[in-house]
Amino acid sequence: MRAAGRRLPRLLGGDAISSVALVLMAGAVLLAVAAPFVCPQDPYDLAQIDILDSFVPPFSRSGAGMLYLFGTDDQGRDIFSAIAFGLRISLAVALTATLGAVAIGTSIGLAAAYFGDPLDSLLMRIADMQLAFPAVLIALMLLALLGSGSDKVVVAIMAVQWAAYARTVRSVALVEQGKEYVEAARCLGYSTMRVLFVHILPNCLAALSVVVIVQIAAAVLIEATLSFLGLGVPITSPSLGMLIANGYPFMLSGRFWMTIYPGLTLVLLIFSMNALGERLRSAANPRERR
Amino acid sequence: MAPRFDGATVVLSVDRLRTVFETAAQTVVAVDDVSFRLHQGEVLGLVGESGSGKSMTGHSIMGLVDPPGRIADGTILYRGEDLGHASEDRLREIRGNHVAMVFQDPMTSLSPTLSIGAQLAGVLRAHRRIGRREIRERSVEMLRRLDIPSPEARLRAYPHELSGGMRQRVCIAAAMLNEPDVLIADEPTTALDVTTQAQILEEVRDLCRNTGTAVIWISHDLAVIGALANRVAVMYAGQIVETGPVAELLAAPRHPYTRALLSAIPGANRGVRRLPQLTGEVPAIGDVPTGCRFRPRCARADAACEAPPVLVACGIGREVRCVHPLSDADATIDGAIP
Amino acid sequence: MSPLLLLDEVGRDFGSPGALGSWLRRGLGHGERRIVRAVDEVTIAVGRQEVVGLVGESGCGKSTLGRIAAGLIAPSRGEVRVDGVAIAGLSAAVRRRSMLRVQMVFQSATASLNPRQTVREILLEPLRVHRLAPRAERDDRVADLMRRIGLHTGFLSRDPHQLSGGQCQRIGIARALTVAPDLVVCDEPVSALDVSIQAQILNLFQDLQESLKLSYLFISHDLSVVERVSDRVAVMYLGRIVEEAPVASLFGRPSHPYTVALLAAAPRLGAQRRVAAVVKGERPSPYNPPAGCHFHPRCPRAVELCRRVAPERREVAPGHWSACHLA
Repeated sequence: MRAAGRRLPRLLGGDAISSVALVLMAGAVLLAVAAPFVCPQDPYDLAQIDILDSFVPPFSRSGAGMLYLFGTDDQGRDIFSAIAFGLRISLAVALTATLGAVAIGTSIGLAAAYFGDPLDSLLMRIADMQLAFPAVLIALMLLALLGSGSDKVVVAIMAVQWAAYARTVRSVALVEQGKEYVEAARCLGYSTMRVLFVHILPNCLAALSVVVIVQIAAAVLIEATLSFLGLGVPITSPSLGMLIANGYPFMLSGRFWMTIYPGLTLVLLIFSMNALGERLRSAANPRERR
Repeated sequence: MAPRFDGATVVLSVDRLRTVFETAAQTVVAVDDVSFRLHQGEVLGLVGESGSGKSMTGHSIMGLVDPPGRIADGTILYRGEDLGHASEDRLREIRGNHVAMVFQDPMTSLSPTLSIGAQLAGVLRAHRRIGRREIRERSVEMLRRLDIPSPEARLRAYPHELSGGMRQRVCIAAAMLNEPDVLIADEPTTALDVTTQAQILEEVRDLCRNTGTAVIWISHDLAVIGALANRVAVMYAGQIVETGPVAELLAAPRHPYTRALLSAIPGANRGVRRLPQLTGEVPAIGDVPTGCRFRPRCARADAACEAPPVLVACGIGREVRCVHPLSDADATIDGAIP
Repeated sequence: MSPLLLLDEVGRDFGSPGALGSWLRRGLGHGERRIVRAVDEVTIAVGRQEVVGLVGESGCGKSTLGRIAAGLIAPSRGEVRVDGVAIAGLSAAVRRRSMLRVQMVFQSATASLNPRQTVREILLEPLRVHRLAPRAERDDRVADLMRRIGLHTGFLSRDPHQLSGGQCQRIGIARALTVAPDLVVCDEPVSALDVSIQAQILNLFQDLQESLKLSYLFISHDLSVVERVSDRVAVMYLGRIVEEAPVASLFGRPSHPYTVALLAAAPRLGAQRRVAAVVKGERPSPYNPPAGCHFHPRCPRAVELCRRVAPERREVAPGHWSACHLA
């Protein structure tokens, strides 16, 4: 973590794209966290929604003088507020899933690297099988089995993402455990758990952090895709994907704002995460550093 | 008796070379005031510990200093031609044809995807037109001169199929193919086994004797230099601190650092229970002491050492950068450093 | 009395994945791997307060043997005995405890320190994990170790990357000493260091051996280093010990042709322009070692017998063992 702390200033002082990306992502996270406090309405409190204000175009005002920055939907819900609350759900699902996937993937990767064959071959072939299929396909099959709901989506995302973490951690851990400090730790009679989690794991974090940020973006996308298809989060707490889906039928009738704004948010969020991930990758790899 | 080269042609002349690394924060002098002459057929040993600037001196001569490093001052003359003012094309020609370099890790100069034959052919073709048959003949001939068994078969091999010693031989073969005037060898045998090292030392010595190639052999190992070189320059913290004919310098060092280096060699002090040791460490480049750079570690240092010493003559062909040079009496390496 | 450490006919193969592993590999389409015999039935003992040097060129198995001695690698065959007790027969907890008596110092001083720990964390961790000292005394123990290895306690708060190679090696030595071992396996501990630092560390090893009554298994490719520190020296070639003798006897009257070649090849001051007596040819691949005596293809004295029969160890002089038919 200390190394990452040293790397951050260089990230900020980097090129224009990553600076923009960092600002965008910080904005998105802030908006998601502060949604209940900064949004003009709570889109899921029926008392605050006025059905008469349905299909209002962007930049209009309500009867009470409230600004509908991005317009409203078919039920008179403020799109901006819905996006903010949707971000909250999307990010919460993605982060929870990532946390779980990191924990599972890291443990599997460390175990594969440390114990070697045959466990290594077995685990990595399973990971290969998982990576061979499109993530969304596997997630869809799982949801078909499990049923829908936020918790099921989290499980599905974890199931399709652990393999990427496991592979990364395994490859870095293989290099790290060849270093003599790991042998020294074993020689000093430390338990396997201590060697794995106190000595090897911290030295894999730099490489892992690059994967994590890109994988969070992927998790957001998977969640959005599943919700768009109606298999994801429940209708009562729409995420970005569901907002896009909700607006979709009205696209061609000229009410573009219901889909475009949530879609744009999603695109910018994914872009900023990937740009930052790319930046982190080049910062972590000295050969690409200029 | 080591041959003298006073009358021979000077092929390379380095004068007051100064290589610096400039960053926004500071300027670090890696090579400072390094001058020497290299005669045809001569082997000059450049000895020093890490951070002494010995490798950087070699890289500077080859024009291989990467930014933020640059040659800040001094001239490098190849047969009287100033390399500092030569065009990029001319430099490339000199680098491939007349001045060649071998590195510690052979894989830095070998391409993993090309066969040995293709790489040697590339070296031969780079500087003139040459027929396929001649390429083959000359490659095989050079590999044979370096004692590489079944050279014809080796031409088809890839670097990863060869042992470390074989790879280094191939690198030396590639460097020697165009019979350069100067070969700069940067610790080429350090990573190799002693038996392989002994073989390669001998092969290079014979090869260079036959072709008249002058060699700058960079090494941390005084024993290797002692077995190979005609003349030695000892470097410390970016400067040459002592230079002279190898036998005389090793038998009676004048600089306290040279003596300390010699006496720190484990095999040099049989019978002495504790090795005479220097205190402290080589200063980091960028953090060198003022005055004499060896001063903080030197038992003889006094107020006179606070001014930067210059190289002064101390015998035939010998120079030392010390205001309190050792005499023959106290230069013996058996006694522990007081 | 049994020696402090005895490696009894130990051997170690690499590339043999065991029954389940090889079944899995076949099942997953990997095929069989080639097996290399890194250590080939070696017997060596280290007594109390004795320094045994182990010399050999790269790939001769000396590092593997060192790791077997330190308990880092389990031997494929043979037994490791500490104070006469076979380690393999002990329960995991007891084995871990008794192997603390054998510690290790590594070649790459920088890589042997965890870059994410400060020097203090590195030295405190063994004391904490094994509850070796009351909490209040741990800092004193660490300070005492720092004094012994000749570093100021100001270094305790540093990260490994802020230390020089010599300083890292000192910390590596201090870490090995935290658990008060009887034997330290030193795997090329000075070969990556500058000459002047090398001398400091070698002297440190000698001082510590005397003050703490340590034994060393001192592994190096450098004959002159081994000659300095060792009481007894074993020479390894392609997984086998070819000669073992007290240091004076081995360097004074080497018996095995490989030892003779090694001694001749080592560059020495004052031996300039010597006539070549170096062995010819390359070390054979350990995957496919020659039959009979492993050294015969390069040996100037090889006879027909050497090509067929691997020589047994024989005592050619008191305490001087050589594995050569002609010795």
